[in-house]
This record gives sequence, C-alpha cells and structure tokens, in this order.
Amino acid sequence: MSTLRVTNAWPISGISQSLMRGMAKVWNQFADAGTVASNAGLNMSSMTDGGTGDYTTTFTSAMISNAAQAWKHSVRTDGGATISCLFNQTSYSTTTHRQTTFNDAGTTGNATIGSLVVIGTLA
Amino acid sequence: MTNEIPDFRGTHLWDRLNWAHTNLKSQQSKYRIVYEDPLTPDEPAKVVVPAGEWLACALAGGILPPIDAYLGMPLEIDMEDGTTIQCSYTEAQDIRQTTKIKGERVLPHHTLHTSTPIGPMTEEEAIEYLLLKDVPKRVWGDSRKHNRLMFAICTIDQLPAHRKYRNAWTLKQFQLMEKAA
Repeated sequence: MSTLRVTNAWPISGISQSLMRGMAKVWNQFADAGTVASNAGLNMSSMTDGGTGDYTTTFTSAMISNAAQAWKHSVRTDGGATISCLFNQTSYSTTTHRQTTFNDAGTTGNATIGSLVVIGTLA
Repeated sequence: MTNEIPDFRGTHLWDRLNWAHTNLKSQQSKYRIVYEDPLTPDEPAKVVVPAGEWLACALAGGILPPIDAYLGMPLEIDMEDGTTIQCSYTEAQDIRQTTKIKGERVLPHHTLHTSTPIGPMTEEEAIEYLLLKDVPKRVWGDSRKHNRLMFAICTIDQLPAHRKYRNAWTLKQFQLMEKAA
C-alpha cells in the first residue's frame, strides 16, 4: 500500500486552481459578538451584518452565475438551534450570499458561530 | 510567511487570493461601514465588516484589481418576465432589489483578472475601496439625493458592544445636523 502526501494539488493541464471543479471557491467562518466578524475565509471581501441573524458575505472573485453554485451553511445560534437558510429567492448572486439564522422559537437569532461554503464555477 | 508579492498580472483573481491565503497574515480592521439602504427603509442599519484576508491583500498591494473592474463588471440578468438585460455591477444592485429576477451571469469581457493589480493601499483607502465595492451605489452615489446621512465610516468602539435591540439600530443624524447648522 502506498501513501500519497502532497502540499498542493494542481490540475493535469494548466496551473490554475481556480478552474478545478469540486473545490470550495468561497468559504467563511464567522462569529457574532457585538457586530459580526469573520474568523477566517477565502475569496470574501466583507461580511455585512444586516440585523439579528442576517448575514451577507460578499465575494472578491465573482462566480460565473448564480445558477452554477451550491452552498453549505452551518450555524449555532444564541437560542441553541442550528437553522440557517437563504434570506429570500434573490439572496444569492454572482458576488454575494445572504443567509438568515433562526433559533428554537422560530425567530431570527444571532449566530454564536456560523459558516458558509460556496462551490461552483468562477467567472 | 513571505510578504513578497509575485507579479500577478494576468493571473486569475481567485488564484491570487489563494496565494494570499497561504502567504499573508490576516489583518483585522478597526473600521466599520454603517449604512441604511434607501430601498429597504424598514430594515435596521447594516454594518459592513472588512474580511481580514481581504484587508491583508489591500495593504500588501499587487493582488486586487482596480475598483473600476468591479463597478463596470458586465452582467446579464434574466428577468422573471422572460426578458434578458445587460447591465453593470452597480446597476444590478438596484435591479435585484426592485425587480424579480430568475438568474444572472457575469459576461466574459469583464476585467477582474486582466486588469493590472493595484498597488498597496492604506487602511483608510482600503475602506473607501470597500465602500464602493460592497455597499450599493444607491447609498453613496450622486444619482440619488438623500436628505439625511445614509452611511458612515466609524471605528469598532463607536458601535454598541452588544446586540440587544440590534434590529433597532439606525444611523445617528446629529453629526450631519451640526455641520449644516
């Protein structure tokens, strides 16, 4: 049995990881105390705190379309529940993603910690 | 970690950011942008927080495209009535809020990756860049006239330290009124 250890994975042709499929093109881990702040992330220029449980991540390098992307939300709210969803049908664009978090009571709740992962094709 | 920025001309923006993710230390800003959106007056004031890794790129220089590459980025939007329109990044900010859309695409002649990266910015310049990029033009542009303050750049300690009554946050108008007096 062989062990494969690498520090970087590159496509067979070309040198751009931006073209590799299946990689997260945007990710963001954030916490909300006072105002929201990103703990770490990739390809994001800012987070916008829009109110209780209302978070928008803005990308630095745009996605090619709002159809060619998929997302993963994770969140823990101050109410204990872990529900995060799109704000509405126009919450995802080529350059932004707006998510809303809810607590056990079904009302919006601040995320003590949360994350967003976007997979898809870059512009 | 090295701070020597490679020559990124012609390199995909995402690859530059990926390089920065590994090689630059995240920088937390002391500034925040607070704004109220004229299209959603019932919503509370929004607070824009710069990402630490983005600020590191802005301070280092040689990574981010000029702001015009964003403001003029061409988009194609599919409207709910079946029509398709072409517009810029800033025009799309209004269209998304005022009209139901089915989809949007970035057109291939955008210049995010082909523009020569801009040099290092100060933290204050970076926040102004971020204002233009991440806050809708209807808030800071000249095309709409407002009779009150719509945005402010402030420091962290000027914001409440807790989130109680977060949905009641608004911009204080006192400073603007003092200037007018």
